[in-house]
Amino acid sequence: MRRQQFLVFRVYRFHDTGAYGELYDLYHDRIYRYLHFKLPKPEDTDELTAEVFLRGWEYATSSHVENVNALFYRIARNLIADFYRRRVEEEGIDSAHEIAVDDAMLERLAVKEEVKELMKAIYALKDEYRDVLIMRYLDDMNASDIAEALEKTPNNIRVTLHRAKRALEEQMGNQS
Amino acid sequence: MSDILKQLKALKNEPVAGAVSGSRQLVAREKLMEAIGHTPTETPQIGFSYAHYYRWSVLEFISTPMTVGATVVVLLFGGWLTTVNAAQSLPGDTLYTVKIATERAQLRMASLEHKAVLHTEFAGRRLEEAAAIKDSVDPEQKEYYKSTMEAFKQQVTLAEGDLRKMQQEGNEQTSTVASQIDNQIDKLTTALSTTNGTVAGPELNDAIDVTREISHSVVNVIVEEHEATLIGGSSTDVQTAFKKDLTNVYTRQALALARVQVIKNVLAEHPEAKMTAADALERSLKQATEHVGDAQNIVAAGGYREGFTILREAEEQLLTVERQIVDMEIIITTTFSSQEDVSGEIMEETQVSSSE
Repeated sequence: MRRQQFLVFRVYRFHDTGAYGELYDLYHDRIYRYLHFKLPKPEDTDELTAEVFLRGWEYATSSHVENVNALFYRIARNLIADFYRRRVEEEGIDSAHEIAVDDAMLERLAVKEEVKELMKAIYALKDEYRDVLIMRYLDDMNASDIAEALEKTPNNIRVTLHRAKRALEEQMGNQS
Repeated sequence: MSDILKQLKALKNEPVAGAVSGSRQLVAREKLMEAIGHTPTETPQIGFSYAHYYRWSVLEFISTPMTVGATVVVLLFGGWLTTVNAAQSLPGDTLYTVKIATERAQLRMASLEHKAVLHTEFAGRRLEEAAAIKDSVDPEQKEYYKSTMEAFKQQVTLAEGDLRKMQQEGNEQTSTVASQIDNQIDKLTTALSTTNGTVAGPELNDAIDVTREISHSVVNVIVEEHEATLIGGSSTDVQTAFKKDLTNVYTRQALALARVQVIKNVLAEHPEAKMTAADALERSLKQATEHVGDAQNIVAAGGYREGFTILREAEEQLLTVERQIVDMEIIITTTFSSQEDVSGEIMEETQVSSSE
């Protein structure tokens, strides 16, 4: 964490693009994955991921950031909200909930059967359950990091994680 | 661990679960780095010391309201020596934190009118620091140049912000404070143009642009205040501001003409060099003030706003030519100092820069 704080300091104090590059390397994958599970198309994910880091740069060079992990997720959440708001305005309310995964897409990607089942189960979960499971098991984040990202307490995250695991097991049971 | 969690972990590298390939990430990274202005040669791999960071952390701590209060008490009871030494310190020095904390304490205690002027004073300090850092032999200290120039711009902008706030609140002293700020900004502009001769760079040009914009805005405040209090009001502030700006335009023109003359003298010693570009610069400089005489007449008839607009246009044109002069000086210095012949090609280059 100290390294991240140091890099944030370099970005704020010296507008150090190299330091920001290092932060990008540290956070890109998890932010990309977070957006991937919330947006309908890979192009949208690419676009919004780039936007997260651009806005992050603008913010981090003008104000000192206490927690860069929380900052990136906050920007991502705001961008997702903007994305769906814009979509409702442009295409009407029906298109707003059309989230990424569907059978046709999984077929197209020639995904293994067990992966397909698991993905369906994940998408069937509530947003908050899906978020904690992905952050914990795919991004290897601990409860404190997840709490910062989702602006909740670590205890709350532990409880949510427990319930999320149970909900996922139930989903998998239902599918089989 | 249950089977489901094992399966979940195994999803980590599946593209369908948001895994990104290395090459795609690299392309995205390159795009971002380009967008934020990263130049690969500029920044070495980050292995620098943490000393700056720790010093900055200390500053952040001591600039909290409680510690500012405590600092004031300490200073009152015999910290003068430290303050005096701190006043000479530069970014990166240990005592610099004291300097900044003292400034913040001053700002916290100042009234809005005083605060606006204080910001311009602090901007002057940042500029002096930036000039000193630029010449520093310490590479760590040089890293502070960019942020010091940023701090300079921030202070100038804050001064304008406070002035606008005063105007919105209908503060009676707005015009007087605007004049004071205008005077300070003139000093800063002079300092910037002096630095411009020795050290050019994007940060400096950026600072010049910001200062010019703020200067225009401050003069606008003076004019607006004058217009608002026209009936029975005094026009001393606006007249003073106009005269000052007018003198400034003619002084800049005279200085620039003198610089062009030096260029011509140097070129005259080299018969193979063409004078066309220098002549063009001289013509542009003279044209820059063609309408300034009209501005004086308009102002005499009470049209301050239009008069200032004409002056601004003249200033813009002067600035463009001044930058071309710098380019030409650099080309001439590098060319003749390396004892190379002044080829027609190089001179054409200067002609291109002057025609732009």
